Amino acid sequence: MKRPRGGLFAAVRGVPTWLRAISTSLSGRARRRSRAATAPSPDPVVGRPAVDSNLRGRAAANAASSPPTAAPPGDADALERLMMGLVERGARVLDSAAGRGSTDARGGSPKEPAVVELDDANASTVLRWLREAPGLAFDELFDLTVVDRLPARPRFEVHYSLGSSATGRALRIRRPIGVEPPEVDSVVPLWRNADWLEREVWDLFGIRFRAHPGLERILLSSDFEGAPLRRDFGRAADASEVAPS
Amino acid sequence: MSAPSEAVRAKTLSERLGIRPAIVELGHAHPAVRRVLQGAGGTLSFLVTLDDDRIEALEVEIGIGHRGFEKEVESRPWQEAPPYVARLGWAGGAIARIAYCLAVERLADLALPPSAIWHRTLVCELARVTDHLARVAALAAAIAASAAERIARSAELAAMTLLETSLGGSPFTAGALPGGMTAPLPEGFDATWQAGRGGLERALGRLSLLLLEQGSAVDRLMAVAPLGREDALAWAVTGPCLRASGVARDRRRDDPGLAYAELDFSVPIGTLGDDYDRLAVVFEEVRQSLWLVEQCVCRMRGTERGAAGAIGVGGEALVVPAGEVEVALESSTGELAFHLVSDGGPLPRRIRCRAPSFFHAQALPAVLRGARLDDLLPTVALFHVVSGECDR
Repeated sequence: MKRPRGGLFAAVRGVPTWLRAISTSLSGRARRRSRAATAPSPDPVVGRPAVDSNLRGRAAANAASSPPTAAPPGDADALERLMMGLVERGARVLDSAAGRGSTDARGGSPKEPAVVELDDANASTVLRWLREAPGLAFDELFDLTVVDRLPARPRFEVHYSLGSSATGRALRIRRPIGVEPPEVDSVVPLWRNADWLEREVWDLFGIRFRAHPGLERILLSSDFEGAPLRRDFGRAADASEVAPS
Repeated sequence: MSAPSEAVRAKTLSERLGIRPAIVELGHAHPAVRRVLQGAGGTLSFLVTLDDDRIEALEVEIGIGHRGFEKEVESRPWQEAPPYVARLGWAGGAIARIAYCLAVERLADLALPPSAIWHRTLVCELARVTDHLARVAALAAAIAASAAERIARSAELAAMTLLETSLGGSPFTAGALPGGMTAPLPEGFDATWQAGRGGLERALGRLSLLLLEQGSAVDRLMAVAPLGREDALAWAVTGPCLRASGVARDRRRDDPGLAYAELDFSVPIGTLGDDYDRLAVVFEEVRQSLWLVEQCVCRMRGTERGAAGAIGVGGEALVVPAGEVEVALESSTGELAFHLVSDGGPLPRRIRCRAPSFFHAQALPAVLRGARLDDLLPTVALFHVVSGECDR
């Protein structure tokens, strides 16, 4: 039985697919031309591949009609403001390639996201600033996870992968947890898709997120005991110490 | 007088009629859910709160298919992870293997021979065709378009056979390894591809007629469950569903790895982000991927195939220095990323799979609010929540 779907679209029905306002964006070949004009790439036949697919990077999301350029105007200023703002608020900017400590304020470009290290004192401030500061607007949370560095201390590090839909910049945040039992502020008020990501961390690592709207297990069953992704789970584990249920 | 009438307007239809909202459970064992989601793993459960026939709230339950992938691969050397990675999807597993190996190669600074780059690109696009056809088959099952479902399933099978031929086995056993592939592209693949390509294109044409132009199918899809641009970005939706919502983003174009910078292709972008747009984007992507495979086959014609130069075959240990890396690839479901952390030892510190299906499952309640109950399964089918990567 046919059901009416609304007058606006009634006229569109029956129009062939290719007319239904599906536009195609810039083709790969044109992209190649503009890339060749801005940055020489190594010979693809010899040695390493010509392009590295490794780090997140995006052209501006609204570049459907204009060719992507090497750097939008004002990008260097924006990057400088980002780096200065991070340093002012007590963050450390690390060398992105290996995550080793370095005081070079480089990175933050789309192809090489900087790795920024925060701590318990400045994490909430910096994350809120990154989300809300005009011109920065890291409005996308690409990923949120935890690394257990046992036997190193501090043991748990929360990793955030941020993106900006307006500028196309990517950023990676590392935030060691200094308190025991481990807990941090939830970032659900900043990025709503953090909800399930923080639930997964709670489920598998037993790290509590303060002010989370509904912190409960998501992958494992609710009667499961323990935090299995902890490095000492399944080895010499004291189950009562790690149970988050 | 305005206060009471405002209070009345604010009530749902059910409240005004004195009917309590109905709560319907569509668990993963429900026959309709099983039928539609089987191709994607079938481990989602839904708890739907209905107001009349509109979905007022939706609770999505994931996790039934959780196998402890991340824990498992932490206790194995880096080069033993690919068979586990391959089980993060069906055809999508082939793409996941490639993403993982690219990340390991980045961390360990391994060079990749050009024949392997082209081979991986070819495999990636063939896997995309196969997975998209699975998505179309699930959608056809959901809207009871049985002719389309049969055509889509047989086309998916044909594409999967081509994929397995190009890999030298199923994606579970063959595919990318750190440093190369398990086997080079077989000698007769050119002919196999030319023989199979026509069938896929014809199937695509028939499916397009049956699902994008036939009134009964279009009625089920047009203006259903629209997802706006801002919401799509806020929920970190990626892949064809993000492009259907009007966001011009494709990692193959924006951050080209493998051989994409050398290839010619277009990226379809939708406007409304409704089911029709999602399906139309998927169709066009299949056409583009077939064209990309053709280009890869032409480029590999007559070139040195190369031996399968992969690390770890024969027991060499892979030394991965300390550091971390996050590598994302445009998979068939969305942007699949591997976040690897190494502390320089023989075993990994952390292997994190950022699975697009996880984010899509989280976005479903927002997408489906206000839709009809019978729009639930078509929309879920189009989002293609693959349980292998969602639950891991």
